[in-house]
Amino acid sequence: MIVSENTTSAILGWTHHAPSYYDHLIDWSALDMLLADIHEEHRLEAELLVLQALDHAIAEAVLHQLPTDHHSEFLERCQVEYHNPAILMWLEEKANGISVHIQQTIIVTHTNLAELLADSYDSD
Amino acid sequence: MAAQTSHQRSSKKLSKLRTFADGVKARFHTSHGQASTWLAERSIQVDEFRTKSQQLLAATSLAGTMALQNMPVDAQVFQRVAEQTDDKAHELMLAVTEEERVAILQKLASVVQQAPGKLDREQELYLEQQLSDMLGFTVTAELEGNRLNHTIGIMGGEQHLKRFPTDDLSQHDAYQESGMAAGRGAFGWFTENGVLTEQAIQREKYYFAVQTLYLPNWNSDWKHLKTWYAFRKMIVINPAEQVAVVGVVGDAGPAQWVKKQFGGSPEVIREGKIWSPRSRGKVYLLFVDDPADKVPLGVIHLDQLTKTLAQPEVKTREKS
Repeated sequence: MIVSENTTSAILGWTHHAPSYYDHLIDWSALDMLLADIHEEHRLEAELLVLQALDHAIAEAVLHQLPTDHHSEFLERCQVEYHNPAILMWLEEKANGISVHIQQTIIVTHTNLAELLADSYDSD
Repeated sequence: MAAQTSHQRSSKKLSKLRTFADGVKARFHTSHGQASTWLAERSIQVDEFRTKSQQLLAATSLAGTMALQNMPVDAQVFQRVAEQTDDKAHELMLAVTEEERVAILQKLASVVQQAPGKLDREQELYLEQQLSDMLGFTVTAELEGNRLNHTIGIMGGEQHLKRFPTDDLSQHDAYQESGMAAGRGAFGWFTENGVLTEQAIQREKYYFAVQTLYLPNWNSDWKHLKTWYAFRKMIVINPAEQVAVVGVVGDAGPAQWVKKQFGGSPEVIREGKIWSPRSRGKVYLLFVDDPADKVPLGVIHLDQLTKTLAQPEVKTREKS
């Protein structure tokens, strides 16, 4: 993870959102930079939208990698302990290497968001 | 006026974020109909996972949890070295002897046993020069001012990547058991103007994943860096097996916490013998300086290559 002077504040800035089992894989400072010039009144919604996009993209990637007979259990665990990193360990047991796919999904989502938001500038 | 512009830009970004999030949600429900039904039957949405489970965390300090979950940071500072290899002097080194070849590979075999990272610049330059002479083309840890955080590291196995949106495993001619990643690679489709060329096929066969996201200047220069790294030619050297593979940067990763610094396509891993009992994933990764695109992608058997180069000199010495 890249260090910046803003890392701590960036992390704390996202802490008002409930955590997920994969939060430790996220480069929060990079996400924060994506929203650096979002107006304060839009900030909370923007953060929620980013997290919603990540949650769905990662759920999609996980279900793609995880054998079908474990899908229900995964969804049940997400319902009751989405915050728990133990989910990731359980996923690794059921689908070796799945953490890498999750990380790649985070990276791709970040990159897509960065492109999308950069385009907002370009078209101004 | 400036405040208005700033506010308008912010609104515009927010609108784009809404569209983006809606698109990802729609994709999830389309891709996983059964899971979508399962959730609907229980009147729950993926959006609600975080908040519902948070109710079980009443006694937990959220800030503390987040801080703990963020891994220790391994900040690396790199020193730019101004000296460049003298091209003319370089050209004088036409080939390496068998003894030199053995010495270089022994040195590299020792180097890759070190902790992931990089050599000091003096050692790095020595190896770059020796390897360039051995291979017959220029390899370097730093190219056009760009370098990865690691040249020494562990290379993990990746899956096949989609070369175009409707690509599937059956269209890949080898190592289908490795599977295929769900999305496209971080640097986009491999096709060229929508056409699956021979070059596109070769690029997917021999691709590397590198940790561009952890570059110190990624956040500030990602737009330039993404373009620069996309399909950039590199070479992985597996000294334990005396094999090298020339490939391109086709994806970003792996995650820092998995303790691997590079990823390789199924072809790179298998044909480069990256995870043989002797290698165990330990490799040296360099850029190939090939502006004219002359160096083909694929496997190089270092023993055969260097013997070809070194043999005439050995024979001459035997005669004399």
